[in-house]
Parts: sequence; C-alpha cells; structure tokens
Amino acid sequence: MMPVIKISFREAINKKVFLLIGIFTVIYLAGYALFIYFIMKDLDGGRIDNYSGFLAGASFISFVGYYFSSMLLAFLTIMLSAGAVSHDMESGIIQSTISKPLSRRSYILGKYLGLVLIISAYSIILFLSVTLISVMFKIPSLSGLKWDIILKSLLLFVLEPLAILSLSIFGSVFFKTLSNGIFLISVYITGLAGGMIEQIGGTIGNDTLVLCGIASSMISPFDTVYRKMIATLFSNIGIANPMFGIYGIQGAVPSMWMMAYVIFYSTLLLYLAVRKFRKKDL
Amino acid sequence: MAIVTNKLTKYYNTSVGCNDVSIEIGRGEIFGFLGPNGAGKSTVVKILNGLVIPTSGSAEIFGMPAGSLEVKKSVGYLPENFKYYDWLTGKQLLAFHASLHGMDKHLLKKRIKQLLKLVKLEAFEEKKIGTYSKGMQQRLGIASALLPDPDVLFFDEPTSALDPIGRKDMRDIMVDLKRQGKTVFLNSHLLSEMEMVCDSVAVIHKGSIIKKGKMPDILNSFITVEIRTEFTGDKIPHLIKERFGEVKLSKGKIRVKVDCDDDINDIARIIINNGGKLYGIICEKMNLEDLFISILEGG
Ligand SMILES: Nc1ncnc2c1ncn2[C@@H]1O[C@H](COP(=O)(O)OP(=O)(O)OP(=O)(O)O)[C@@H](O)[C@H]1O
Ligand SMILES: [Mg+2]
Repeated sequence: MMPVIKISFREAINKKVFLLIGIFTVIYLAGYALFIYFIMKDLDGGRIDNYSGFLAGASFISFVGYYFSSMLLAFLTIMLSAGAVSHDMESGIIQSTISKPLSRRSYILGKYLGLVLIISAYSIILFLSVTLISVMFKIPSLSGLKWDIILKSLLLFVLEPLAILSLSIFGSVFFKTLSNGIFLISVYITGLAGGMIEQIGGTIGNDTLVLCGIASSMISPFDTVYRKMIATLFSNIGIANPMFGIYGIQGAVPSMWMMAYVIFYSTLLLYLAVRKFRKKDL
Repeated sequence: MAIVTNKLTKYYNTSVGCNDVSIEIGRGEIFGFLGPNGAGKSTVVKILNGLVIPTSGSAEIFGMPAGSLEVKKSVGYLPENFKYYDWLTGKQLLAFHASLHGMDKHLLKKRIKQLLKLVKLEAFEEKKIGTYSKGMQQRLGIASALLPDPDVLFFDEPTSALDPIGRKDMRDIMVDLKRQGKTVFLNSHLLSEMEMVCDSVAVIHKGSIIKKGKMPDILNSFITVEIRTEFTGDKIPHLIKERFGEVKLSKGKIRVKVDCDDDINDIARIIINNGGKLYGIICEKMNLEDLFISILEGG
C-alpha cells in the first residue's frame, strides 16, 4: 500500500490547484492579519467603550478567520480528491496499476491515506497560522488559550476535511470526476443550510425545522464538526459566544456523540467505496 | 498449462464482451489472439489480469485464479490503452511500478536502466511522460510489463503506436522471451507479424472462439487449389461445387478451397472420371491474413 500512498501524496502536490491554493492561503493570511490589525486598533482606540461589546467584536473577528479557513479547506479537499479514483479510471491509468500485485482495497486506502497526509498537513498549518495571528494581535478571547483546548480544536479542525475526503473517495468510485465535484459541493452546502435551519428551528422552537436540520447534518455532518470546533476553541468565554453573529442567533453545541457519528460516517463511506470498487470493471 | 480459461463469459450492461471462451496455453508458448474490432480480445485479457470481473466461467494462470495477488506477481501486462501519470518521468513511473512489485531498491535501479535501454528510452528517462509521444509511451508500457521479469506476459496490441523499427524491436523482444521460456499472450491485428512469432492461435468473433489450434495446423487447414483443366459441359464444376462449396471458374482454370491434402486427390478424380483433362494443380497454403478473412467471411 505504501507506494500508492506516496504516489497519491505526490499527485496532490503536483496538482496546479494545490499551488494555487497555497498562494491564495498566503495572501489570505496576510489579509487576515491586516484586517485584524486595523480592527483591533479601532477597538483599542476606545470607540467601543463597553468591554463586553469589545470582546464580542474581537472574538467575532477571529471566528471569521476560522470560518473562511474551514471553507478554504473544504474547497481544497474537494479539488484534490474529487478525481482520486475516477480520474485514474477515466484515463485508464488504473489498468497498469491494478494489474500489478496490489489489491483493490490497498489501492483505495492508499489513495485515501496519501490525501489524508497532505490535507492534514495543510489543515494543521492553516489552523496554527490563524491561531497564531489571533494570539499575536492579542485577541482577548484567544489570548488565554490552554494547550489542550488548542489541540482538541485542531483535531476537530482536521476532522472536517477528512470527513469530506471520505465522502469524496466514495463519490469518486461511483461517479465521474465532474459529477463527483458537483455531488460533493451539493452535499457540503446541504450541511451548511441544515446547520442554519437547525439553529433557526431551535431558536423559534419549531421542531420540524430542527428535525430537518438534524437529518441534513446526518447526510452532511461537516458543518457540525466545524461548529463543534468553534465551540471548543471559544469555550472559555461565556459572554461572547462567537456563534453569535454569523447566523444571528445562539446555536446549540453539537454533542460528542455527533463526533463519534462523523467518524463512523467516514469509515462507512470508505468501506462502501472499497466494496463497490472490488466489483468494478476497469 | 500456463493459462487456462474455462467457459469465460462476460456480459456488459448492453453488450457481450466474451462468451464461453475456453482456451489453453502451454508454458513457453506464444499465443496469438485474433479477431475483428469489438470481438472480445481485450475483454479476455482484462479478465486474465483481474481488471474485469467475469459474469461466469473461470480463468487460471499456473493453476491459481487469474487476477489474484499471487498470480499478479509473475505476470506482466501492457494494456491496450496504455496511459500513465503524465507528471512522472519515465524512470519514476517504472520505479513506482517496481515498488508495487515489492522490488528491492538496488535491484530496481539496475533493472530500470536495462529496460529503458531495451525499449530505447534512455535519452528520455528524466523527461516527464506528458512530453512523450504515443509510441514512446507504448515503449514505456512494454518496459513496465517486463519489469519484474514475469513468467507470463500479456501484450494487448503492443505495436499499435510503434514505428516499423519499433515493431521489429518488439518482435525481437518476443522471440527473446520465448527463448527464455516465457509464456506470451498476444493480441494483435498485424497478422503477418503474428504468423512469424506465434506457436498457436485462436480466432474470436462476436465474443466466441470460432477457431483455434497450433499455427502450422491452422494454416494447413485451409488450402486454395488452382487447377488447369479442360472440360465440356457443367458437370465437372457442378460436382466440385457440390463437394467443396464455393468454386471460382475462369478460362481453363478452377479455383477451389479445400481442407486437406486428400481433397486434392478427390478433385483430380472428379475431373478425370468425368472426361475432363487435367493439366496442372497448384496448391496455395494460406497465410494468416487470408485465413482470417476467409474464416470471418465464410462464417
Ligand atoms: N466497458 C465496457 N462497457 C460496455 N461494453 C464494453 C465495454 N468494454 C467492451 N465492451 C464491448 O465488448 C465487446 C468486446 O470488446 P473488446 O474491447 O474486448 O474488443 P476487442 O476484440 O479488444 O476489439 P479491438 O480490436 O477493437 O481492440 C465490444 O462489443 C464492446 O462494445
Ligand atoms: Mg482490444
């Protein structure tokens, strides 16, 4: 399996989109740092004199940093992996690979693990960069962070793209590359919408909406992981929950069970991908 | 036996890939698989390499199920649609394939060098495959198939993109493989080349085997006879037609297809017994190409 892991890793690095997103990330981080710098100057300048308002504003800013980072990550994951298997099948590359002494299961898992490495590495760098920038500019909600909280949040931050990756590998066995891309984006958006619906339902006390939201986060649990990550990271500030703002309402924090479900979900998808791939004509 | 298939059948969603294909190929044999486009040659080869799952029937290589990990260790395969990661260099691709075979690092380097030389790609080993011409990619595929020094080789139209010199090189490679006692399964449309190298052949048409055997036997099984003769009336051509089917008449000549040498004797007897004069008999053994066309046209 090792050779496939390596080739999958190298294939991802060799993609143009990887370089593109790498460049974009640097610009994004620089822009983010600048954004924080100016806003913090304003906030410090005493224009907002009530402290809790200041705190809410400041944590909202850092929250935005993670929000766009996770989207960027989802996008990168989809771009790198949508064709992981399907492209090899469409091009015929797979024929020379699978006819070598390599089981079909090892091929799928190798492809998956190679992408796990690259996506995890990128996620960790992105997360640490955003966190470092926030801490550097003394965003109060993050300044007193403990290491265990950072580590837990980091794990959740990495879990989201990895769950997307499992779905992508699954889709890549079943669909053509382009269809898989569309499939993945649709599912991802379903999750975002579902999260919103669930929270709106929760706020206005509409059980049907909540149920709809939960159902969609079963199909697309990525946003749930993200919310859990944010909730964990900002758990030390009671007053200014950063959930406040982006949806305009206070959201419920996803349970640990939900995280267990995400791991089950990812494993199941991988299993189904391997099972389907075993019977495929190449 | 090196390769044995037993009633191998593959139905795709909308079409028949192959139907009840049973073939046996002995160790050290070069086997030629013939058939028109869409006959099912590639389907059979893909099944034998574990790429296509048969609907029914079975296939074995050295007594083990075709496509199993154990078998794949001693098999080399050049696919019909050879395509490789275009961002790798030729050398890197072979290194990747060698690592799939679990080849030792030290051995691998030497072997790759040797093979790139054999397929005449040494000058391009550090170039990206994306910059290779079609023929160069096919050469690389041939090198990849030979990489683990396998006992069985499958070449699906190995010279489809090669220039005349490349074709000659490929023929030499096959003769060399035979000398080393390797078993070779060859799909090709180049019948004259097949005739030169193959020990046995099978013809597949619309998914089914319609003819198979050792090369000399097969070639001898169809003989065209041209008879110089003189006769009056319709009786002689009529009798010959009755006995041998299709007859071509032209001034002083009768052309007819027969199956074996004894048939020639029968024709002579028909002519003489019915008052004709026999001036000469010329036997033309068919080459593989004529044979192929006559099998497919004659049904
Ligand atoms: N993936 C597939 N899906 C559906 N039908 C297929 C598929 N692959 C092959 N076929 C059909 O199976 C039959 C045999 O195809 P195959 O590729 O084995 O032919 P072939 O003898 O190799 O032809 P050629 O000389 O053109 O290479 C054809 O009728 C083809 O249409
Ligand atoms: Mg073919």
